[in-house]
Amino acid sequence: MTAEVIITTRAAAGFPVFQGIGSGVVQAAYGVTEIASGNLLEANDIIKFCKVPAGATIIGGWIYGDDIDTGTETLDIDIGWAANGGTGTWDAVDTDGFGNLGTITGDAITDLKPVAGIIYPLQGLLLADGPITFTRETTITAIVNTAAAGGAVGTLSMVVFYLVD
Amino acid sequence: MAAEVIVATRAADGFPVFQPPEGGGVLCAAYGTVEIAAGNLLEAGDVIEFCKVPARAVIVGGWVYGDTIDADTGSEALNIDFGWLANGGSGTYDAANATGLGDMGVLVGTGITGLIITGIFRPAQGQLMAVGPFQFTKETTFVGTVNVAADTTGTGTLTLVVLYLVP
Repeated sequence: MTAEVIITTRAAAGFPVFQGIGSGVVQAAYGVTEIASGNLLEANDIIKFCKVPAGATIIGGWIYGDDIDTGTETLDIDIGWAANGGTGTWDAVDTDGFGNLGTITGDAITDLKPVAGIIYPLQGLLLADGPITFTRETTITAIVNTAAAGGAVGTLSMVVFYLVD
Repeated sequence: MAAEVIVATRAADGFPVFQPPEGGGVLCAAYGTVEIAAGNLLEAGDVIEFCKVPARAVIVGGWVYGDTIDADTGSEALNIDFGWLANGGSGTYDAANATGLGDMGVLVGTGITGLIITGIFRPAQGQLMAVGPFQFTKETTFVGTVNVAADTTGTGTLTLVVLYLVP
C-alpha cells in the first residue's frame, strides 16, 4: 500500500480542541491509534495524534504502545508536529521535534518497565531547548521511517502535557 | 569566576507566580530554563533559580531536561543537585533543601536505551521518593546547585519542570 496519513479521533477535523484556561494549569491532549493486521504501519505513514490550542507551551508527555515489533525489530518512528501556519519560533513543521526515537524495540527495561512495551517521554527539543510554545493550534504527529519487522499490530498512544500562559 | 546565582526568567523578581483559580486536584506546573553559554559556564557553587511555586503547593512530580551539557568523553563530571531555597515558613518542608528533588550525581546525558536517545532526562525524586508528595506553606523557589563543573564543553540548555497541586 502507499503511505498514508492516519488521523486519530482526537486529531480529526471538527474535533473540539480544548482552549487553555491559562497560566500554570496543566492540560493534556492525547490520541490513540490501533494498528491492525490489515493496515500495518509502513514507511512514510503519518499519524496525527491530537491537537493543542494556540499558545500552548509543551512541558512534557509520553508515547505509549504495545510491543508492536518483535524479533529483529526495525520499527522506527519520529515524533513531532505539523506546521501550524504561524511564524513563531516553533511553528514550522518538525517531524522529530519531540524525538528521533530510532528503532523502537519495545524491550523491557530493568527496574523501569518490566513488561515489554513502548514508553518514551517526549524529548528532542524539550531536552535541547526546554518547554516550547506554539502560536497557533498545532497537530502532534508521528512519522514512520521504517516499518516493523514482525508482529506489527497493537495500540500506539500519545499524551501531551501543556500550559497556556 | 566566582560562583554565582543564575536566575531564570521564571524565577525572577516580579515574574508573576501562578495562583491556581481553584484547589483540589487541578494539576499545575512551574518551569524555568537556562542557557549555559561558553562565556559563562557552570562552576561549583553556582545556584540556578529555575522557577517558583505558590504558597501551599503540594509537589507531585516533575522533570529535569537538558542537552548533553558535558560532552561524552567518558569522564563527564557535571554534578547538579535539585531542590529549593528556604521560603521563610516553618512547615515541615519549608527549610532549604538543596537535594530535595534529587541528588542527581553526574549528569552524563548520553541517553538510556529504550527511553532517552540523548540528553538529560531525570524525573523529580529526592523527597518524592522518601515521603511522597510534600507541601510548602509559602511561595518557594526551586534551584539547581552545581557541585562539580562539566569536564568538557559545558554548554547547553537546562530546564526544570515542577508539577504541583494546591489543595
